[in-house]
Amino acid sequence: MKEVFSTYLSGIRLLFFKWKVWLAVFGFNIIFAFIIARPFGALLDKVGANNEASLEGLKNFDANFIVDLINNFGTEISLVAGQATFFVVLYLILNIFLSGGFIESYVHVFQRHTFGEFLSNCAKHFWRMIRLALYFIIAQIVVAAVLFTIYSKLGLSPFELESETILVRNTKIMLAIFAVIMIWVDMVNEYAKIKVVIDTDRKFILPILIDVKFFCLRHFFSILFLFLLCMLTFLAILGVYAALNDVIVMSSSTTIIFGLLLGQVYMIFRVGVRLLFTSSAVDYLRKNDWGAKHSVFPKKESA
Amino acid sequence: MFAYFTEMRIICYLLSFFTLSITLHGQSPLSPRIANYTIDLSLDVEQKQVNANQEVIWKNISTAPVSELQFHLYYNAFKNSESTFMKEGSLGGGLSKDGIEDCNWGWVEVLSLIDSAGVELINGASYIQPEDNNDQDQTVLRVPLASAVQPGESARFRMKWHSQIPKTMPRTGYNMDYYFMVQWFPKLGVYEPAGMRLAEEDAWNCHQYHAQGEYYSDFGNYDVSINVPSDFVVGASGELAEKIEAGETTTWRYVVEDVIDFGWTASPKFEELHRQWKGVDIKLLTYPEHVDCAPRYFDAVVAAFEYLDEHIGVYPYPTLTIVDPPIHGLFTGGMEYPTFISSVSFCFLPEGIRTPETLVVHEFVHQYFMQMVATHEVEEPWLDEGFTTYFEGKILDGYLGADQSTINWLGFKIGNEAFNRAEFFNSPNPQIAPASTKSYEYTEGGYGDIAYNKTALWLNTLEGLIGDATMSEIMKTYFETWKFKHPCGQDFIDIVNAVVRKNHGDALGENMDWFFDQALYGTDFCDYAVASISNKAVDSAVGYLDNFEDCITDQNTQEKYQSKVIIHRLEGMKLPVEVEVFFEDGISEMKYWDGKTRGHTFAFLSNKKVVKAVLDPAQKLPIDKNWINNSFVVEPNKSGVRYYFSKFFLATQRALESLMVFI
Ligand SMILES: [Zn+2]
Repeated sequence: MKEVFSTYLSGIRLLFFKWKVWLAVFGFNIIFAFIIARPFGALLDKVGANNEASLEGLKNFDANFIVDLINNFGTEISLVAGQATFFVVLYLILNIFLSGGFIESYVHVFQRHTFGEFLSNCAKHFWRMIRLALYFIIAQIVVAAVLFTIYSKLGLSPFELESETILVRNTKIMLAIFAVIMIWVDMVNEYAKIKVVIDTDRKFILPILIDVKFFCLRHFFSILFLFLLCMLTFLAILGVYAALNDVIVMSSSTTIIFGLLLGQVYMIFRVGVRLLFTSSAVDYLRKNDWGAKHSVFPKKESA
Repeated sequence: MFAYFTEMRIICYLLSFFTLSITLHGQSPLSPRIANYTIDLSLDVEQKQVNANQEVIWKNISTAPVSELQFHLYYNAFKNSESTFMKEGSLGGGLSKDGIEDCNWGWVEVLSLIDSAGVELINGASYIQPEDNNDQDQTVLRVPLASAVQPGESARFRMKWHSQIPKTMPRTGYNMDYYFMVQWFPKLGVYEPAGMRLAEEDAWNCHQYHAQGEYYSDFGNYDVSINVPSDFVVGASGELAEKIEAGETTTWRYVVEDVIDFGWTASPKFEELHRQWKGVDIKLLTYPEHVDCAPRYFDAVVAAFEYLDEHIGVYPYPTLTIVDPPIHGLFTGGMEYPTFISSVSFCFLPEGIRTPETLVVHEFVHQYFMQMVATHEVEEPWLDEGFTTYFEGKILDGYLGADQSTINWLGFKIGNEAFNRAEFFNSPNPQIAPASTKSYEYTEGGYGDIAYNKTALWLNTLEGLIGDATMSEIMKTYFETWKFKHPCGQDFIDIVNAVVRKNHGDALGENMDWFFDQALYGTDFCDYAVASISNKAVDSAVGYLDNFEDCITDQNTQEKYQSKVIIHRLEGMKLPVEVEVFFEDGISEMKYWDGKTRGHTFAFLSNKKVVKAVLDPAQKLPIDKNWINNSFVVEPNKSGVRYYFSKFFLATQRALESLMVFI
C-alpha cells in the first residue's frame, strides 16, 4: 500500500512535471467547448438582441424562457445540436490521436519533444490507439447490453412487478455490478494505452491486451488501490467545486465572470485527475513491468 | 334461495336508504336523483369475475313517455380486438402479446333485466353503435321497454349480470391481487330532454366507450354491497355503512348520495390512513412501499379542499377516498370518480417531482367539475379536463410556489403555467383541432395538449383580460348555477358574458364571444411582439414659415424627441394588449391597444427618450406563444445572454471531459 501511495504521489509529480501536457489537454477541452458553444451563443445573441427576456434567468430558473426558446427557435437549436454532434465526434477522435503523444511524453519523461516530434508520436500510435479505443467502446457496450438484458429479465415491466422496491433493488445491484466491471475495464484500458505506446513494435492489439489483462490480475489490489486514490481525488475536487459553486450565484456580469473562472479552475483539476490516472499508471508500470523497475522519479531524487 | 334472499336485501336496503336520506337531511336532496342503483355483488378472485344483482330506479324527467333504456356496458370495450376502444388504440395500445395468449380480455353480460311488472326485457335488447356503426362494439345496450315510463314517473328494473374483469386495462381492471373497479357496472346513459345542453329533441345520450374521453351520467344514490374474501380491504365511493364478516368472505356496504357514478377498489395489501378536514373523512388507501408519500397526498388535497371551499363552493360529501395504486396497477392511477379518486406515486420519487400532488389535486378538482357540475366528458372534454388543469395550477401554485409547482428538482424549476405552455406549444401540432373538439374526434392527436393544457392557458388568459375578481365571480356563479346539473359549453359562456358585462360594461366588447370564437372554437396562435423603438430628435422648423419672403435656414436641435414604439401582431389571434413604455428618467407609462390590426405604433413627443417597452408586463396572456419578443430595450442588458452562454459553455466542457471515460 505504501508503494502504491508513493506511486500516486509520483503520478502527481509527473503531472506537474509535464505541465505542458496538462495545459494542452485543458486547452483542447476549452477550444472544443468554445467551438461547440459559440453557435449557441450566437443564437442567444440573436434571441436576446433587443430584449430582456433572458434576465429573469439571473434570478431564478426560468422555465418559460427555455420553453419559448425551444418552441420558437427549434430549427436553430437542432442545427446547433447537429454541429455539436460533429464536433464531439471530432473531439473524441483527436483525443485518441493526441493520447499517443501525451503518453509518450509521460513514458520518456526526461526526453524533450519538439512539437513536430510530438505530432509524429501521435501519428505513430494513432491507428493502434484508435483500434484500442474501439475495442474498449465495444467492451463497454457489450457489458452494458449484457447487464441490461439480465436486468430486464429480472422484471422491468411495471405490470409484472409486485412492487417497485424490487426494481430499486435490482437497479442498485446492477449499477454496483456495472461499476465494478467498468472499474476493471477502465483499469485495463489505462494500462493498455500505455503498453501500446511502450510496445511500439507490436502491431496487434489483442496480444497486448492479453498481457495487460494478466498484468492487472497479478497486480489487482495495487492498481485498484491506485485507481481508487485517483477516484477519491476526483470526488474531493468535485466536492470543493460544488461547494464553491453554490456560493457564487451567477446573477451579474461580475459573478458570471467569477463563475466562469471557477468553472475553469475546476476543469483544470478535472483534466488533471484524468491525466493523473495515466501518469500514476505509467509510474506503476515503470516500477513493475518494463525494464526500468523503478519509479519515474527514483527515491534519491524525490527525497 | 340465495336469489330470494338477495332480492329481499336489496328491497330492505332501498327502503332504509331512501327513508334515511329523506329523514336525515330533512331537506330537498342536492341533486335530481334520476338514476339510482342498488348493487349486490360478489367478487370471484379465482375467476376474476363479478356476479351481481342490480336494481335501478330511473326517473323520466322529460315531458314525454320514454319507451327504451340505454345502458353503458363499458367492460365490453375490453372484450376483443374489434371493439371501438381497441380499434381507436387505447391508452396502453391494446393487449400485449402475453395478454392475448393469456386471454386477459374483459366483458360484461346482462343475464336478466326485469321491469316492475315482472316482464323480462333482456331478450329484446340489442347492442347499438351511435357513433361509428362498428357492429363489433358492444358497449351500449339498448333495451326496449314493455311499457313506457311516463313523464315524472320512476320505474324500477331488476338486473342480473356478470363480468370478466380485464387485466391491467386503462382505468380499470385487476392485476395480481389489486382490483380497481370503475366503469364496471351496466350504467344508464343520460336521457336529455329537448333544450338540455342544446339538445334539439328528447333523446338518450349514451356514447360508446372510446379510447379517449370518459363518461357522462345522471345523478343518483348508490347502495353497493361488495362481497370479497375476508383478507381484502375495500374502498369505494361514499361511506362505509356496514361490514358483515361471514367466514371466508366479508361484505362491505357503501352508500353515497347525489353522485353520477360509483367506483370501488379491493386488495389485501392496502394500508388505510385517514385525515379529517372540516368533517370530511379523507381516506388514503395505499401500499406499504408508498406510505411515506401519505403526508404529500394529505397536505396537497387539503390545500385543494381549502382553495375550492373558498373560491368555488362547499364540498358536500362526508368522505373522499384516495387510492394510490401499486406499480402493477399503474394503469388505474390518475382517475376521478365521485368521492373516489386515484393518483400515482413511487417509493423512489423525489419530493421535487410533484406527480402525487399534481394528480391528487387534479383528480380532486374533478369532484367539482364533471362530478358536481356534471358536464359531458366525452363531448366537451375542455369543460372538465381544461377547468381541472386550470384550477390544479391555481391550487398548486399557491401551495408550492408558482415557479415550482410541477417540478423543483436538481435545480430545475417548472411551474404549472410553464408546464402547460411547454406541453401545448411544443406538442406535435398545437393547431390540429380547436379546444371544443369531442374527445374521440381528436383522431390525429392533440387531446391532452389541447383539451387540458390549451384550455388551462386560455382560461388563464381570460382571467388576465377580465381580472381575478371577475374570473372568480364567474367560476363561483357557474358552480352555483350548474351544480348537480348538466351544463354545456354555451352555459359557461353565457355566464362569462353576463358577469363580464356586469363588471366591465362594454369595455371588452358587447360580449366575450370574440374571445371564445378564437380561444375555444379557433386554432390560431397568439403572438404579439415589440418590434422596435425609435427616438428621433425634433429639429426646429425651417423654410418659409410665417410668410413668403423670410426663409428660416437656421435649424436648431430642440430638446425634444419624437419616439415611436411599434408593436406587431405576428399570429392570427387578436387580443387587447397592454404595453408599458419606459422613459430614460425611469418613469413608465401604460398604453393599451385592441390588438386587432397587424401592427400599431405608440408615438410620444417628449423631452425624454423611450428606452424600453414591455408588452403584457404582468404576463397576463399565457396563450401568447412567444414571450421572448414581448420586450424591446434600446440598450439591452446582456447579462442574461452571458449567463446562459456561460452555463452552456461550462456544461459543454464537463460533457466533453466526461466523454473521455469511454475511450
Ligand atoms: Zn382529469
